[in-house]
Amino acid sequence: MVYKEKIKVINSLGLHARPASMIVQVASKYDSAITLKKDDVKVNAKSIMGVMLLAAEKGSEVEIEAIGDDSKEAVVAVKELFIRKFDEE
Amino acid sequence: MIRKRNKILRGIPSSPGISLQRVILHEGEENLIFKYEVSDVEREEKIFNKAIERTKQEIIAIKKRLKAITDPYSAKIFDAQILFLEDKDVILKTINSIKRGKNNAAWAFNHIVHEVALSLHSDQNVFFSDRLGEVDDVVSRVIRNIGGESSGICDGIEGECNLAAHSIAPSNIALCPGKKVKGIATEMGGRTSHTSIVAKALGMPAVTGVQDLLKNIQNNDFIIIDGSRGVVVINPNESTLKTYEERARRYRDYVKGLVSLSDIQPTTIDGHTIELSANIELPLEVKSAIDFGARGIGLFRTEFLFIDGIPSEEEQFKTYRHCAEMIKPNSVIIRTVDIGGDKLFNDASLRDTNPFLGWRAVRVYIKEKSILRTQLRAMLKASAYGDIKIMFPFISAIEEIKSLNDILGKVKRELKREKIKYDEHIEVGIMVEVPSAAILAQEFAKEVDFFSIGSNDLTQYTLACDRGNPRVADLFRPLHPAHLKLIKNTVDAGHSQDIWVGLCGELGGETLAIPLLLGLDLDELSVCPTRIPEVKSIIRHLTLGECHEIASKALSMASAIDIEKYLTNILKEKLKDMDEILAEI
Repeated sequence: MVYKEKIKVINSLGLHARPASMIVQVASKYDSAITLKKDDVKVNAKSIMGVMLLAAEKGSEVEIEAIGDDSKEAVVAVKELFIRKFDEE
Repeated sequence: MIRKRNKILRGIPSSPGISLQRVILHEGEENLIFKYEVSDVEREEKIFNKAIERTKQEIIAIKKRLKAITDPYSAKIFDAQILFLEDKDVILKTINSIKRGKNNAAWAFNHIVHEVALSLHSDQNVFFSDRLGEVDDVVSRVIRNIGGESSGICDGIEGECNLAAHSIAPSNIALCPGKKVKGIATEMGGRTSHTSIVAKALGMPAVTGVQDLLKNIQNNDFIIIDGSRGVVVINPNESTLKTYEERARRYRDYVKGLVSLSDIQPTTIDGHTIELSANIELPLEVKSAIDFGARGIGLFRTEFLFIDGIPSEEEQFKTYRHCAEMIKPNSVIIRTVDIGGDKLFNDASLRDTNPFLGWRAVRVYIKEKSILRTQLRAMLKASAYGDIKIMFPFISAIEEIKSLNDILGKVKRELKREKIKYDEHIEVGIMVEVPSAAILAQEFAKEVDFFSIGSNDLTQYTLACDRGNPRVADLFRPLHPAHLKLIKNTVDAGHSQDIWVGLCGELGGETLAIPLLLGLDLDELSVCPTRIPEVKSIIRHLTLGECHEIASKALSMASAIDIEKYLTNILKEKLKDMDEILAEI
């Protein structure tokens, strides 16, 4: 089962080390394969290296995609982090 | 890339000698990471897994410590580092590279990190380097831990080789066992850079400042490094190879001739003998110092021990004891650590805007006593196993030496209470390298057992000239009469209080300076080990009487350039039969 949603990065510092860790920690709780896509670059949301190197800055658009039984829950949970601005502000 | 044939590149001759070997490339900046084939891939995989686990434990410990002193949110930045160590993409790819490619763990790991990064952002290098900075710290930690598993980071290199790199940190040259790495060529650096100094000390030919070196060279190319002329030849043809084999043979003979002087005393024609000892940076140099005929170690710098933070008492004790035992029956003068507060506490916020005039050496440890106490305890404990002398650097005020002596007294009493043996009459001296100490030498002499003049810094502070700055380097003249007068004052003051006075700056190894320094009545010269044979043979061409005349003539001159000219003419006359030396002056 594939589920995907687009979300804007709204926290001011973008996906630097700390938000990236939060994404990996949340994504790793789900069985689905989860990816983040920005422009043409697609990375594994369970890999800190990948998420950090996505270099998504404030204002950029990221597509969260999950494939698996819990794909919808996974995408919603990750999206929630973006909305909460990663508890930054 | 097609292999180059007989390609000749030029750089700065930084450490003499010629080395003909296959080359190993190092493409990083400072971290020395070699690539080599491992025979036991399972063992290598274990080493890698262990290093990852150890690093994780280290970071968890740091995080805990930080959490205790600050808010939990700040401690979270370490989550990224921990997650990075659990990142399956990176870990599995590294293990794959070890298993399939038979690559050594350090190289495989470093390579994968960079490859993953590049694959994602080949066109966004700015972001890439910026982001990677956040994991850089943890990457070097892992690599250090991989190194810690084997005894050295270049342990697995088979046979002998030359090394080519953009730049190499001096501490890394030190990590290369001299038996394997025979010569060094780098794109960065200069004649007086630390890399060159260490290469010289190890007797390893080096050419630095070679432009486009890495563009022209590939792993396992055969290269010639001619450190005497500053030439690198890649894959030489037969006639070039022949020429250089002949040159290398001639150089070896020349060095052998000098080394054969190692049992001969540094005595002048009229029978005056001076103490000739060696400056070293690493324990492994003790052996080469002895081979070159040093009587003792006149300066053992301890900064290398502090590269990765403050070392334990045990670690220091072992190092000092080892040196003291090696150099027996002669002595080793160990200098307490001379670095800035920012390095000692690994805290960039402590960085001085002008480190030469800032919070460094004794100025740090008179306030932060635990660093000094640990080092003094280690030195005293080691003094039970050989002849150790303690030297304090960078002294500018009399209160400093008084308070250092107090601390030393306390540490001695502490050891006595603990019933630990040490040399109760251990000699204590200071480096005279700040003009105030040279001018007030008469007063300082009452507090210590010896002086050792640090001519590099003393010149720099007297002439207000940073020798590392090429725009003013021309003003850096150790033969400046102002500097010579400070040396004379220090020697005379020391002798009037019956203490001995040595000199451990680079000036002591300079051909031109030798008659002058003898004439100023220095009791000891401590020089780079490889310089010892030559200094010795120059001394053996002189008489103390004429050296006295030379010194008083030089001290009557007002200009450094005049003094240099005067000394050049004298030496040309005295050393007529020493072609190799004359070629240099």
